[in-house]
Amino acid sequence: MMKSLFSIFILKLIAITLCAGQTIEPSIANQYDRNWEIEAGIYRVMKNGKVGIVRANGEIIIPCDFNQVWNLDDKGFFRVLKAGKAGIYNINGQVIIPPEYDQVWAFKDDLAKVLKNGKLGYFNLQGAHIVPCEYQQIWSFENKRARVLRQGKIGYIDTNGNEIIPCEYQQIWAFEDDRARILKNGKVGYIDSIGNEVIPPMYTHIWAFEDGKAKALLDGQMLWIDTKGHPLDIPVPENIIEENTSSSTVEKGKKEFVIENESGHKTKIRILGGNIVISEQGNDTHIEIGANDDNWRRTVNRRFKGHYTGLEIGFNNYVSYDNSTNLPPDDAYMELNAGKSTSYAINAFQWSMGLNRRGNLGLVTGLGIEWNNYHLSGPNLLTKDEAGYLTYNISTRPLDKNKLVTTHLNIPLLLEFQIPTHHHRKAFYISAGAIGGMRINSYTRTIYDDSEEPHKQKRKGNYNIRQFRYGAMARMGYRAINLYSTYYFSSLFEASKGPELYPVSIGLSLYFDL
Amino acid sequence: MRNSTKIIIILVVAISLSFSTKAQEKENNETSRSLITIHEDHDKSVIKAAGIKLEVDNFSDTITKITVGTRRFEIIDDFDRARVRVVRVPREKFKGHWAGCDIGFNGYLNSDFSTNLAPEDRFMDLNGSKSVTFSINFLQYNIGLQRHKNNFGIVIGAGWTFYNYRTDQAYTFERDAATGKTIGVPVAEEKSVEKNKITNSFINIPLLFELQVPSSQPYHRFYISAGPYCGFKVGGHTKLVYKENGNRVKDKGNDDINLNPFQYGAMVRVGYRFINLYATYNFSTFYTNNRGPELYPFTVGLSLVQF
Repeated sequence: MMKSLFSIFILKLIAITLCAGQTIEPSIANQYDRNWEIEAGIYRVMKNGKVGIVRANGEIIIPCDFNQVWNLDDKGFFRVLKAGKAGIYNINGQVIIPPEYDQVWAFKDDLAKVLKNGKLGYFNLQGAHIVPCEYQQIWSFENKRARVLRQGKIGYIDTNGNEIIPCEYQQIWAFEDDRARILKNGKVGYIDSIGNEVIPPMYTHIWAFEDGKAKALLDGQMLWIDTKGHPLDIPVPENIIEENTSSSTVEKGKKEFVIENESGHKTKIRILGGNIVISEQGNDTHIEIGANDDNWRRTVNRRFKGHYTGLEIGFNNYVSYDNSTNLPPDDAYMELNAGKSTSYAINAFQWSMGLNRRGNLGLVTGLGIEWNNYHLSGPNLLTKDEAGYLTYNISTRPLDKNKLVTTHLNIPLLLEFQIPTHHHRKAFYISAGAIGGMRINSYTRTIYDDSEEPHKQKRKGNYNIRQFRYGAMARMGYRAINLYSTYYFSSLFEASKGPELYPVSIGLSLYFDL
Repeated sequence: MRNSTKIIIILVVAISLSFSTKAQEKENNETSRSLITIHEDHDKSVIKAAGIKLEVDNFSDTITKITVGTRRFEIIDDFDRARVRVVRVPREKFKGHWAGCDIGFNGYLNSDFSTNLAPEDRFMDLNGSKSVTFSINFLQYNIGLQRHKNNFGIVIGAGWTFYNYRTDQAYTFERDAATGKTIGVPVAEEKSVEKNKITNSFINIPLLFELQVPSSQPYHRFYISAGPYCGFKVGGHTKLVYKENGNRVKDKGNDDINLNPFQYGAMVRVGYRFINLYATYNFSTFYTNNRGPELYPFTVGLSLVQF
């Protein structure tokens, strides 16, 4: 009784531990930076940027020192990548193919093709390197034999890696009736399927066999031969028919149609400068619309493009010669309502010039139009006296608004540095440089706060404002959010014809790509 | 009149923001990004578009997976029944915590980090419990800074914040015409003040560095972020509510009281799941330089809705 109870208890315990084994234990998860479940009870884990595979109970299938481990394929293999080299592990953690190959193809008919130093070979399911990596090309196995290319010479191997036809032929044409035409040292002959030279390669050309005989050219002499290569005593034919080999490739530059026909197996069609890509490989079809490189790191040499265009909204003010907003007593009538003194600008055009190959450093120039509103806080109406000096009259009527407005055309010259992020074209940037402006309009606007007429007054005039201004600008931003600030080295008014005030502004620029 | 122009400006800002993002999408379309990718194998079809992935797998059963954001709908067709399940997919990329609604208290400190004001600045003494701030953080950009992990990055965004400074003192805020300074003018004795406040609103732009721990945990991570921010004044007014002879009177003032139109400071945010706290401190003064009491605004609050 006790024994059976005990065994039931043991069974339950096993069942519980099996169930618990399906989700990763927190103590195991905490050993790694990240984990993903890829199969029931099997987790891909990451530690210090290296990837491995563990079971839920912490048993390590693949140690955590690979750059990438792909999901389990349906035959129970993991593809791994370490320092750019690929390999294959099985589900029990055994190394099938060590990670030292440039490319590893999936198992097909229990064989996996591998590439190392530009040479191809084969591994089998047990991990034996049956075909060493010494072939430039291995065509797919047909009837347990594969055509191979080594040092420019063609031969055949079987699935155990033996060269049944040694690699010493310049060309082997397709086998027909267990015989194939061959080319060796520029001479044509025939071999059978196990590599015996049934017609030794000594002819310049052999035409197709008909009724067991074929025309052949030997040292400039036409003759008839039979299937064993023995010359026949038949009159020599006169007309020589040239044969054409049929393989065509059409290529029209990188951005246009590329049609490749390689022994009928592959078809690739690209349309519209790579914006629609249709590629067909055997049973697989691949269609991409608007396709391009997903990987931004690949597009290293992108074109520099600056950030100047946009809509600017900010506050402007001016400072005295000692960079203070507290104006000297003589100029106190120019004191501003800082919260109402706004500036608006439309930066409509820009031109960018890249300065480095990565395309993240460059010069930006452009053209913009800017309106500055200097909203006076006192009831002082600006005017000019007889001597041409800027002065003011104190308003006798209550004022609602009293401002000086200037309109300038701006041309900046900025040096911009971009810090790229994971998004192509979405860079955080900092730019700084010079800005010059030409005044195209200036006026004062006064709105009275009473019922008398005129209610509004707009008085155009130059108010001794400089025709040209120059200063420094700094900008920074990311996507739509941009901050800018300017400081002008030239004073707002002409020297000795008005107070010495230097305009400053700070604001927000909404970037769009015009 | 002024209010309406402000509202128009805000509308223009909002519209042009949406336009600018549209313009960027257009640019991407022309230069780089895949809009739609269709990949068809012998047993699998994958259609990808911005934010959405549709997968049809015919390998063993027919499984259709539709991924929208962090949610994945899996429709599994067995031979006799169909099941739908909703799975959460861990984020591949870094996403910070900024967008949402914040609510909190605001106040100001003087230059020695004290709330005790000088006697001549007593008119600015705050009713702290009624001085509330509210913000809508409407725009957020995330920049991940790691290659293999997604728990550290930069958050850039924009938010519209309203500040209410409730003094409830019997002083109105006025600009002294002679000195240009903001002073408190006593309210007449017969008026009993119920409410007295300065309200202003800013468009704030933060640049936050955010760290989320633990990185092995895909969903519920503790986060801490800190960084500078700056803000541009959008609007502001004063409001005085008082009782005179039994009548309740509201006075709204739009006069210039030297409020600083540009602010900058530091911001700290921490949170875990639904508990999110934030605090800001301004290095810029409440009033423009030397035109009023030297006060440095701060806020402390909760982040309520996050999106």
